[in-house]
Amino acid sequence: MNLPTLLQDQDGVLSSILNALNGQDHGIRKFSLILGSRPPNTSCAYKWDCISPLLQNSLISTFSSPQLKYLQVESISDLPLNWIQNSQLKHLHLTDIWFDVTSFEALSQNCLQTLECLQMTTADSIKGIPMAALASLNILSSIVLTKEQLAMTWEVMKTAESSLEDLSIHFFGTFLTWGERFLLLIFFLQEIPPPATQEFDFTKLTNLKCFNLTYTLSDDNGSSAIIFHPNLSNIHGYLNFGAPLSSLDSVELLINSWIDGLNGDITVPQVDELSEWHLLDNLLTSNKFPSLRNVDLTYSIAVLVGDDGAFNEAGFKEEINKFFATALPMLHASKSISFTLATFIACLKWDEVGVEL
Amino acid sequence: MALSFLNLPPEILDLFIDQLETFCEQDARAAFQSCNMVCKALQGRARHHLFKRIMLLTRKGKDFSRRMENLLEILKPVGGVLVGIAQYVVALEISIGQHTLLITTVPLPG
Repeated sequence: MNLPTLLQDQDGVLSSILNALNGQDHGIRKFSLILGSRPPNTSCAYKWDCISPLLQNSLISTFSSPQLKYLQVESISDLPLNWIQNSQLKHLHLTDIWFDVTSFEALSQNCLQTLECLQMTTADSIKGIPMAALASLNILSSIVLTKEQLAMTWEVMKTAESSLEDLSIHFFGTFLTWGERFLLLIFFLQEIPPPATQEFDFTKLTNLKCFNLTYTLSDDNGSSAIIFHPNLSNIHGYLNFGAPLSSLDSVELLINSWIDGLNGDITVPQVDELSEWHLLDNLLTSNKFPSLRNVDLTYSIAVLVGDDGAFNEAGFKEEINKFFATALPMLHASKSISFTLATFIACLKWDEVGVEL
Repeated sequence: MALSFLNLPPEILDLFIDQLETFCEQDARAAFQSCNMVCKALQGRARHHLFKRIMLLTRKGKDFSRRMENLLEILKPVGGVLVGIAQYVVALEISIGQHTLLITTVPLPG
């Protein structure tokens, strides 16, 4: 049964379920409504107006219930915003959401004062929510694919600069196989590389304890040398704040890269060739991070191969683990550091028809 | 007087039942189902664990509509008073739709 049929034919049952769970003396505290997973900016999200008034009313009652503390909604467009007026939410997770612009004006700046955690997939999902409502955020997570989403993320960070304790910024846009890049161009019509320099003054985040950065390398040449000489200078520039960030206790860094194994063996270079890793090592052990204790580094590598058996994954992982045990000597000596390697193998085969992804 | 676990204060009994949650999910569920059937003293806390989270997920080959109707049946209040499992439900997840166009190839944050 597809989504429109289900929501139209079963609206009475769904509505009754929600009403039964939100009685006078009780109510659900956590609610997730996930209407399929679609790429953002494709106008594929399910339109709010296509949901029957009966079910709309039950959903709005659930969203605005003072009992509800956690709300996750995904893939709905033209979602009205009036329900946030009396909401007592602590955690809001928005994925592929567009709010109804006609419902913005009546909103009070004082709404959502209880909100502590906001997850945005992507950052423009919050268009319409008054910025003042986000001033008490402790936790912010943002996925950034466009410049507009990046600007929106900076704006939220500025609003919550005195309360933010846990910040996650994820740049995913450029880590794509050829087929995915093609899809990206169709759906988004734009892609941006992660910024190489800091555009926000992180030192204003005076309570920031944990910073989680996902950085996607944008090299077009995915040779085996490139993944170890990536634009780490860009990551260095991004983390090189203007002044010490004295509250920061933990940095989690996820680096996405890819490697072309189509034309031969994949080799891991020696540590002494890798000056850019030493830059990162020096920075994270410098006086710009006086309270830093924990560093989690995850390296995520997509490996393009022409044959299923052409890549010795176990041997490759062993080499890389040895490499990182020695590539960051000062971090290993002075901090609690963990390293995780994730490999994704993409088999790229040519046949008479074309390429198989 | 014979000793019985029923002589324990109900708060202590609840703590014992809560500890079952440390089992793996399948074993914990079986244990809560057993407690639910033993006696009324264990029933409330066991049901709290069994029904605190409800997920309505569309899956290929499953009759989603029928499952929703069954759920509604056991949630319905009788005479305006809550009976059944509605009072125990804390979290509801409704997930409907195809997941066919996920572009990202790296693990998304949880």
